[in-house]
Amino acid sequence: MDGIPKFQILKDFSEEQVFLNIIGYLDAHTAPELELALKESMEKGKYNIVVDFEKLDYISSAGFGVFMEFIEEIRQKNGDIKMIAMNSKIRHLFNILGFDVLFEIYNDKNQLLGNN
Amino acid sequence: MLNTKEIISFFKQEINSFYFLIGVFLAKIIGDFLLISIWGNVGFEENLFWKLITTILVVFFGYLYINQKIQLKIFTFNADFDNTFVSNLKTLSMVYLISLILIFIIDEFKSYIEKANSPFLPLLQIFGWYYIIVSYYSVSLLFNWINSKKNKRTIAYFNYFKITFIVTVVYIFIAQLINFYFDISFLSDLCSLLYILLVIFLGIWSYILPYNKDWLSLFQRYDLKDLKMYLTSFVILSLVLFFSWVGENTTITYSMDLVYPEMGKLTLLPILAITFYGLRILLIMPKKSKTQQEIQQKVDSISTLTAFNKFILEENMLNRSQLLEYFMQSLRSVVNVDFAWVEDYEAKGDNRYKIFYKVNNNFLEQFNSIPNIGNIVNSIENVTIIASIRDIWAQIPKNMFKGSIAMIPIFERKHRVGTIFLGRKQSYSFATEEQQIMNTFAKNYEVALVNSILLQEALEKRRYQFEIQLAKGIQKKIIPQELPKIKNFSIAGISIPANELGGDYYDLIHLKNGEPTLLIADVSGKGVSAALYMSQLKGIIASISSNIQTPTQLLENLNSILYKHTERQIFITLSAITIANEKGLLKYVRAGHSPLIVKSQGIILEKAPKGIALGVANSNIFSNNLEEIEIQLCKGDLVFAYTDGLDELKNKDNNEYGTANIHKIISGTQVTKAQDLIDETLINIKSYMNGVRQFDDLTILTLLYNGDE
Repeated sequence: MDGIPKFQILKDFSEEQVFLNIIGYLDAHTAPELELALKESMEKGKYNIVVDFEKLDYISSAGFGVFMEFIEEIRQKNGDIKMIAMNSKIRHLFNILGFDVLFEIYNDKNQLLGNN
Repeated sequence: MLNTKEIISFFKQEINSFYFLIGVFLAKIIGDFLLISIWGNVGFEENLFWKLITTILVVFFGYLYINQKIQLKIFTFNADFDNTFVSNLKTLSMVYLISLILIFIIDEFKSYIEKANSPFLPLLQIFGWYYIIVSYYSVSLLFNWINSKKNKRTIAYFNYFKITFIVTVVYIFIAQLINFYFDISFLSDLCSLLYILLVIFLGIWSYILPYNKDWLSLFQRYDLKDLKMYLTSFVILSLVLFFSWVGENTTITYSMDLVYPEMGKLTLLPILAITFYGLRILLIMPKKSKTQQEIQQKVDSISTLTAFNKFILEENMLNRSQLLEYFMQSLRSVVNVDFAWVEDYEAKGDNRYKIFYKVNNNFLEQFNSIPNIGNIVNSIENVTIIASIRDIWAQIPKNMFKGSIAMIPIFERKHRVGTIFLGRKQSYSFATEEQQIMNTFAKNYEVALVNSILLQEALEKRRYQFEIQLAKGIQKKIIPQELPKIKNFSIAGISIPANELGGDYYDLIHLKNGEPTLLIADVSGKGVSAALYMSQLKGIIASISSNIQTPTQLLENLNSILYKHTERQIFITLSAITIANEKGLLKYVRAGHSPLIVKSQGIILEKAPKGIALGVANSNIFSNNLEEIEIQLCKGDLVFAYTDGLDELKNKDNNEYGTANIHKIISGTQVTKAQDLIDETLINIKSYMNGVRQFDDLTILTLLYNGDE
């Protein structure tokens, strides 16, 4: 992993929906970065957030915790966190934890846009 | 019209003063030359006035130029006396040697010019000017040396030197003039007599002056042999020069007489003083090299330092102002000072200057009103003597104090926290040794403090470890060491935390109707926070379970309590397996927990009914998504519950253990009691991990149905 960051977020605030592309390992050490990104989005007044899981390799309970922390506030502002492109392992974890009923999860961007 | 400021700044420019110097110097030489060549061999006295005016002008511009160019100033403070002494001595010896060689050259020129009866005699005054500069160089060095040791004796010496200088000036430039033009010899005779007495006494005083321990520090700085050699050669040179200088008609005085009659009397003073000063230092050197006093001061400072370190460590006192005060007092007992105070930058407002010794507020106010003083104090990184900062020194009102202040910056972990000021009223020197002591103390302060902080941290860590051990003991009691026996079933469980404290939990409880219920749970996160939530979970379960009818109801209640009372990002996954009857019927609910693995008549099945982890969804959503299932076991059937610490175990290649491996063990193991399955699993994961550290808490719960007998 020399030189390659453990975790990265590519943020796109240009459209009405914020796109957060999360890459790598999301665990207790890297969760604060995601926290900051969500806060940043909320400070910009953007509550419609799409998190792209395509390049996420791992998510720990602390990673799930970040979404739980903000989802209620975001929904109160009529926003939402939607998730796309999870790999099968992470999708399985969502299912096991029962979080798939708490979040809208789409296979990819097209499915997401088609649904809107 | 030019104003005064403009004139001053004009002459302060190096190049301007140089042009003027050359200008007046040429004018003087040409004038002297013309006086001789036009009016014949005119005696010195015949053009005294011309010589007086031109000499004063040349001296004035020469002084300006030398000050700017060479920075050779009388009365500048130089704290570096000890370090620069030998190099200055070498330079001065060289200058004196040249002065002596010049004597022969002047003699040669003189006899040549006189033989040729040439009018170029005034040109010999160029050599006279050289000797004037030598004299000026000598006096500025001498004064700087003495100045760096300033005390009452040196101040009196300076005053005496000034008086001698003034009397000589009056004698040469005024009395002679009056005597010549008005033929009144009284003043001239009086000055002549005074001059002789003053010069004799100046010699004596210069000799006795360096008999003080201030000068002894020199001998520790240099190799004694070297120092002796340089000093001896210097003293010999200066003695020879002195005796070539003194007297009525020596070559040296002759060359200066061409500049101005009797000039040699004035320039002799510094040569005399520095010669006897050097002689004395040479003579006191061998026997005074290491006095008891010096050693005693070192011993004192070391024992004070030790006491200070002991104080910091034993008192465990991190009250900075007390520490700084104690530090100041320690330093004060080693370095003899008249007054001292501390600036404590961490303290608020007036408390900043709360610690002082023999200083009044008036003085501090005055001191702090010196322009730019705050910035300078903040910027110093080592012990600094205030007189060495020229800008500040010039700004201190002379009536404020005549001594000096040493400023000692105090750091804690590279962070500046204060300054200690040590002051002397009558002396603006601190010996190099004393400065070293201050520096050592300041560095020691930082180290001692860091040590004490580290010690405290170590103690706290030990205390923390102790408390963790306590908590571990408590946690062990939360997780049952032995599960109660249940008819027709064999049950076993194990929980291995990754760190001292874990967030996993398993238990066997009884619901209101007496149905035994196995619980397995995993609090999100790890370590102490997870352990705390785990204890909380245990408490909640213990308090509500006796009123609960079904496992579904248990989970719903747990969720609604945790949802209300825990932070949103914390969640708990939990499975509840209720043994509904003795005939192998189980009721199973799952709140986000890893699926239950069931081996039913040899077939491995994963049971994952719907269910959201506890603490994240409100009661409605939670209940609507919670599914309770029934599992009917047959004799020999196994149930295997685990936390994700098991299937997410990693080996050296970073591969997860996975559920497939679990399936393999369950299907491949001959089981007579539930513990067998756990033992087999532990052996298997140990060989899988092969030394890799366990990353997450790991819990396994196994259940074997022995059939209804």
